[in-house]
Amino acid sequence: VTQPLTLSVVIPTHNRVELLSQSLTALRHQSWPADDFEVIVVADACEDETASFVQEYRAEAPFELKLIEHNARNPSATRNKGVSEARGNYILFLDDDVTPSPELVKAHLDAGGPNTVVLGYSKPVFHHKCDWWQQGARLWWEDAFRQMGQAGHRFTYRDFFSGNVSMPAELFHTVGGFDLSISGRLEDYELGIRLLEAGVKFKFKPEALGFHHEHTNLDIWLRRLRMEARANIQIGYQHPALRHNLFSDFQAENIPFEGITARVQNLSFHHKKLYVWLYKGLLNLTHLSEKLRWRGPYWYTTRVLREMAYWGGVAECFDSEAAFLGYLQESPIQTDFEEKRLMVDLASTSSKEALEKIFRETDEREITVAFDGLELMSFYPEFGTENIEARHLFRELRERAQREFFPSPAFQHFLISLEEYQ
Amino acid sequence: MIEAIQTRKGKHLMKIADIDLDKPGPQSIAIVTIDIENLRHHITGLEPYSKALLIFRYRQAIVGQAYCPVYHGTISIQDINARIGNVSWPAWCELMRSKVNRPLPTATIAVCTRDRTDDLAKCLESLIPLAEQGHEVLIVDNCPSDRSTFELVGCYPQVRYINEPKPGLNNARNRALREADGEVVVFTDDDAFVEPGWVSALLENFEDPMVAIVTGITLPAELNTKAQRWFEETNGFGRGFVREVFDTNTIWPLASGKVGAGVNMAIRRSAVEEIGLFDAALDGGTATKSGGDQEYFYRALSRGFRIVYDPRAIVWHKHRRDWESLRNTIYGYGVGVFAWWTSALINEGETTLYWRAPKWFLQYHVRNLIRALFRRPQHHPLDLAWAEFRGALIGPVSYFKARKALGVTHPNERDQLQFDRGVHKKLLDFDDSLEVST
Repeated sequence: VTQPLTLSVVIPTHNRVELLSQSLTALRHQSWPADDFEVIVVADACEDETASFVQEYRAEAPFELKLIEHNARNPSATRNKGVSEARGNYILFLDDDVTPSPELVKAHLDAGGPNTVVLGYSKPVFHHKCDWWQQGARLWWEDAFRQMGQAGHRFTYRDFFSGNVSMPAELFHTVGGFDLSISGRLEDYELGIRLLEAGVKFKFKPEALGFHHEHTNLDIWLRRLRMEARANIQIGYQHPALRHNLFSDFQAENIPFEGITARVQNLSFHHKKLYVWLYKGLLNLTHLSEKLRWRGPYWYTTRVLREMAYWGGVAECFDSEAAFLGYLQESPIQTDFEEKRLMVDLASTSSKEALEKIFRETDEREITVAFDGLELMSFYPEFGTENIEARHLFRELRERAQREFFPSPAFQHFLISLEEYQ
Repeated sequence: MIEAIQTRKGKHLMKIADIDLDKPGPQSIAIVTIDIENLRHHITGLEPYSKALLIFRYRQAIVGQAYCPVYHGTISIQDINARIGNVSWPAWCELMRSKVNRPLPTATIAVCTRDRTDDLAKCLESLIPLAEQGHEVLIVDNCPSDRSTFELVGCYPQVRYINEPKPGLNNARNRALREADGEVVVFTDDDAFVEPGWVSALLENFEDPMVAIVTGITLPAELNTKAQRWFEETNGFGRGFVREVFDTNTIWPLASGKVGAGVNMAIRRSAVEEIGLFDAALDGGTATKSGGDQEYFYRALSRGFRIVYDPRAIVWHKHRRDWESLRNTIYGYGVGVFAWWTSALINEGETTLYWRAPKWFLQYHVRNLIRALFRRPQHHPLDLAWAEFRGALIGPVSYFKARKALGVTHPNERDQLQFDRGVHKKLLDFDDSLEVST
């Protein structure tokens, strides 16, 4: 009955008919021929006129437009449902608040291929004067995409955002689609883990540009952090190797003071009343600081709130701190790194081709890179992260050289030669 | 030209002689640019000078500077080597800078000028090669008193002349932002001239989409008079020799003086929609005398954008030669800081200024004045310290005065002008084409 198409665009939506209409309009103006892709709108528990709008729109749309309605209140189920009705060879997931640029579909299909996931560039757009949290978020998003665009970026599951991403339909089915037990937050991360563990290649295409209409603010974000904590724990049940990642969301770079994590954990497990009282107080103080434009207090209170929201979410998932510690201890610990270590000395092997070969062919677990006996950096196989390649090393070295002086002329020469590589 | 003799208290007692200031005197400082990769010989031919400012250059960037004595018109290579040590880190940073592979945005070069054709001629000479590279060059003539600028610019067919009748440097800048065709508008002053690689060095930094403004390094073009030497010592445009990225995480936005100055800056036009235009009540030509660029940097930072300082983008600035102008400039800086802080307080609600501004006034202006009074080591000349002190006191009042003179309650036209931002423009175009087709 159905003949295969090149691409199916799956748009999950929930009560956002206005943004959805913008997306559909933008899809009409793609540089890719409109009869070569279909659009599947999956309306999850919509109470606005989404359904009637799509029904009406279907008549004028140059592409095939399908509407699926269901009542799951679960983004994972919604996306899986959309794919189950898709007949394209490729699936493009597009969020309802991402307005595609005219080149988006073409860029995805140009870069796509078997065993490849194409990550698009969802540029954050705010339609009013940004508040301080939104300014930070915009920087965060733009920096994340800029990082991904640099040669030698080592992709992790944290680069996988389901708002603007495409992959072969077959691949989606092979890895098993979105996990229904993780809903609301981070279900895309979890799929990213399974894709990377299956050896899939991630590609970032800045030309696959969509405009992400952001409406998040500080309060929404704090609520989401709570859900993210729960999702992280769920991911930990699925992939025990990642349980320690509960902590890595906020690594040391931005903590307001030493030992805050331990204190906030203690508070959220043992002093729930004090926790609630403190949380409300800090939230009010944050809003006051922003109103009076006190940047210092704002910085501190938001950082503490971030920790509190996150660990509060963790505490909600366990009956006691002991249960939480037990959960962490079940995480497998790699201990055999030292024995299976490959040493690469750049003083003896500094041709790029030789290094690429070594990195490609080794089956050691850890690769340590040194120069004339001085150890520079080590690479480990990390769960949910791309396999190590020489280009990752080149990028790390260039980055290190921005912060550190290397006196050896031979090594300097090597570093300069890497620039041409990039 | 006249150089006045300074008494201890800084008052003019008499004018001894007319001195031709284009020629250096014994107190003048020679400015010597040295490419540190090709440093082989002594430097000779600096006859009238007894002191020199060495400016070290490596590849495309300025990596350091140092003062050095000149004996019999010669600087020995040993003297240079003794001073070159501190350039190693900036030179390393320059060596390790990654190339930008993406295409650069288009640029319009804008110079705002007013009745200063002598200096403008030199500025224009340095801009012509850039015009021939394909950059648009605008000269905004701000409320001119005669046709001399118009006639001068007429000699250069590559350059566009615009007459902005509303007085005020910021009005002229706003006019340039509106008239420009380029995605980026690059500003310099009429009393400055630029290096050939200036524009591309600025443009490279716009690769990061969050960068709204890029500033560059500004060096003294001459240090012949006492006034010029003092300006360079106390208020020079030096901002270091390493590329720096500023945003609200790394800098307090109200200290935006650290990020650069209007003499050497580039602004992304698409960011102007969010930042707004320059405040017409600030800077030259109004009661506030300066501060327009600093206030704009502040607003860019406080809207969440980044500002990059890049020592590859090089501009040479001719400081005022006579002491009278120097004092006026310093006075203007005193006024400008407190004027734009007043603007930040009343327009942007920066309440920390209630205590930060008085603190700065005590820590800097009052302290400088006291040190000058009691002749502490390395004090400023008393008349300069006094001028800056008076300026700071009058600053807040001058902002209200300037606003009153403009006859506006809201200080600038930020809201009157709609700049096209990528998305909205494109979406609107879609809607138009839809209406036409249906």
